[in-house]
Amino acid sequence: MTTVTTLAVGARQRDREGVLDEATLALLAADGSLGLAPAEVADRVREVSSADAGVGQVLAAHHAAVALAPAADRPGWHALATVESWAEERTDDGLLISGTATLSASGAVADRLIIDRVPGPDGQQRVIVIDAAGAGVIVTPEEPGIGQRAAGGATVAFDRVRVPASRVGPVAYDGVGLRWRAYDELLHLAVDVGVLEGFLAAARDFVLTRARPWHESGVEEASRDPHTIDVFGEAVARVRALRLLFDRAADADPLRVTTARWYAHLHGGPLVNAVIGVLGASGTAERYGLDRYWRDLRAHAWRNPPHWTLSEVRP
Amino acid sequence: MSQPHLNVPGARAAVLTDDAAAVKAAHALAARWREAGPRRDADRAVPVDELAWLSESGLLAMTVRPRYGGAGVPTATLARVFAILSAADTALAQVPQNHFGAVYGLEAEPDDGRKEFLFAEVLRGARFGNAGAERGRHSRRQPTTTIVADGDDYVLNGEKAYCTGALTADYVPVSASHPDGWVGTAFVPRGTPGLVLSEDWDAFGQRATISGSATLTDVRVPARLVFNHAGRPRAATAFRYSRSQLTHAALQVGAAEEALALAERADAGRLGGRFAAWRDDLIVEIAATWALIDRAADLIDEVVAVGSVTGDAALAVGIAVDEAKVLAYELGPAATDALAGFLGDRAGPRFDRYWRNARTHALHDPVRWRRHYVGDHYLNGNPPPFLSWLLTAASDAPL
Repeated sequence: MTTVTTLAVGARQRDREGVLDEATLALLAADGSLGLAPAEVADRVREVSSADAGVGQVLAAHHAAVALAPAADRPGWHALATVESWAEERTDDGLLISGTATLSASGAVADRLIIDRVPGPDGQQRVIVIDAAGAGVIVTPEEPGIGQRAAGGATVAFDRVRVPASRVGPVAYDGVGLRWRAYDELLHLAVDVGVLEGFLAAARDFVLTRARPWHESGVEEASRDPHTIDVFGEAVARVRALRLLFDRAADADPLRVTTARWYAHLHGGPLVNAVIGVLGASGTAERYGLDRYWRDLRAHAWRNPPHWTLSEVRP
Repeated sequence: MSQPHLNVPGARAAVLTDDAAAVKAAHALAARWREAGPRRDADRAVPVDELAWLSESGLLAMTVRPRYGGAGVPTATLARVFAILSAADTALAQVPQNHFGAVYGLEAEPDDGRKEFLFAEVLRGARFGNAGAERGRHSRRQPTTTIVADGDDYVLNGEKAYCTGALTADYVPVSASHPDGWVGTAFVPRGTPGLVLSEDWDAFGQRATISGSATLTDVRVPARLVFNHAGRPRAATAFRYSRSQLTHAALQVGAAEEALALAERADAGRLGGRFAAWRDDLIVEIAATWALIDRAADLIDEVVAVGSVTGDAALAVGIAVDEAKVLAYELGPAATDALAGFLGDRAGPRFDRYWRNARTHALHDPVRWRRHYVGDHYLNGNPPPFLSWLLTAASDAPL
């Protein structure tokens, strides 16, 4: 079984329980998803998200953090820590850190936490890498939200955490700021594309295997209902267009990424909404779990709306 | 019998050698159409001068293969040119859509000197304007128009409708059925006695297309201008039909791009946040529609490069073109409608024509059909009925 198929099988259980199980973490570590070259990451995130957008989000968050980490510190799961309070002391061999931070979607499972937004005393940009299992590091998983429930996120408290000088260095991502943000946006886009591709395939499968025809329509099968066909026709064209916009944004050009993100943002919710609207009442049965795609999409959009407006990135 | 000759100053047609030249020529023609188009919309006059400029531009030969002297531009460039022209005037820009379809049809003919002659005419600026469609439920299948041999000529009789561009064309490709069972296309030179093209096109938009009706009464055409389609590979015919349809999608994107260009020049601050948001969204929708058009264009060029067409390839291209139309045919009418809502008179004199044109053109082959084809193919694996007929019917296609 491929990773995507395995993930699809377990997606509903992870959604119900709101946990990212060890087997899934091990699967992604074993198939090389953690160590992909940057050019391969977005498409893997898309594939994984088509099966489980929570897992896809965790993988995306890992890679967004890894992109900032020094090469020597790259094994294992990474998460980005956004600092809320911060105090540091210099010691003979590094720093002593206290404070709090929120962690990105991979936070609850991360081996290493990456801090990139706290400038040094002289004002220079730097990256600090902290072992999540180290002394004085207390990671508290957050309650999962309405969607992407395998990607609950976490908060962290640092209580006089010792950081050796070797773990404090320059920002790894070349060009920093804008380029990293565009890369991060590309990975968020990949999640949206994956959710919508996964949803469309699941909805098609439902129409062909489960949905009952409208009894007054005169057609024998739900898939022959012209209203159903009409709604699918538009959805197929839109999801294809989104995929093409995503493929073109693979170089993380801010304009191309933002264009595609807005396309997903504008059409994703209405598209899922409309397609479920032609599945019939049985399409809302809990056991089929089709609402997961809508909850995943909306949870993602709410937490991570497009970073830029189009006006901001147009030349 | 009179020899075919050009009635427009086509002998002065520019020679375009590559994509860049075609795009440049399109912009130059667009500048003139942008000025003249509103006048033709207002007076409903036959756009004789405007189409003579098209002939002079050299664009009519841009898809002719280099071995016949044309530029052989990729399909994506053809689509780009149609969008540029449509942004200037969607009505005038629709006129040559079927011209390029006729060029595709000629490509399928054997090298016996006849298509070389017509390609040479195109390089001189000649334009084809079709008389293919007929009214009635079987209008897209067997023509009721007849063609019979008479000495070295053929004689045609019948009635046609939606003859876009035929009134001003140098040759009118007419599809017709022969009593022996074959279907063919006769390239009737303009001015041929018995061919009467009517100005009875009364749509509220796309006025300059003059897509009126035609009657053929004992129209005599030399045999060398008649192409017998018997034995044409069906998949190739289906492919040719589908590829000729892509420029329709480009026309709608062009209309939307013009709406955007007008909106860009407007004072966004005064119009407020909703206007700015609409403009941003329009950019996104245009990009999405182009993505589908360019994908279909690339698929088409891949099939051309392979050199032979399978039924699966023809179907894939057909669906790809329909997907592009699903977005394009909503985009143009919606963009031009919103433009009128936001800008009103500030969009310029006769600004209502943008919507009238886009709305009219999008009914050429309605979007609800396209959504149905795409959805039915996705859910049930069904090919669109017309494409299916082209791929499987026992009779020849009037294309």
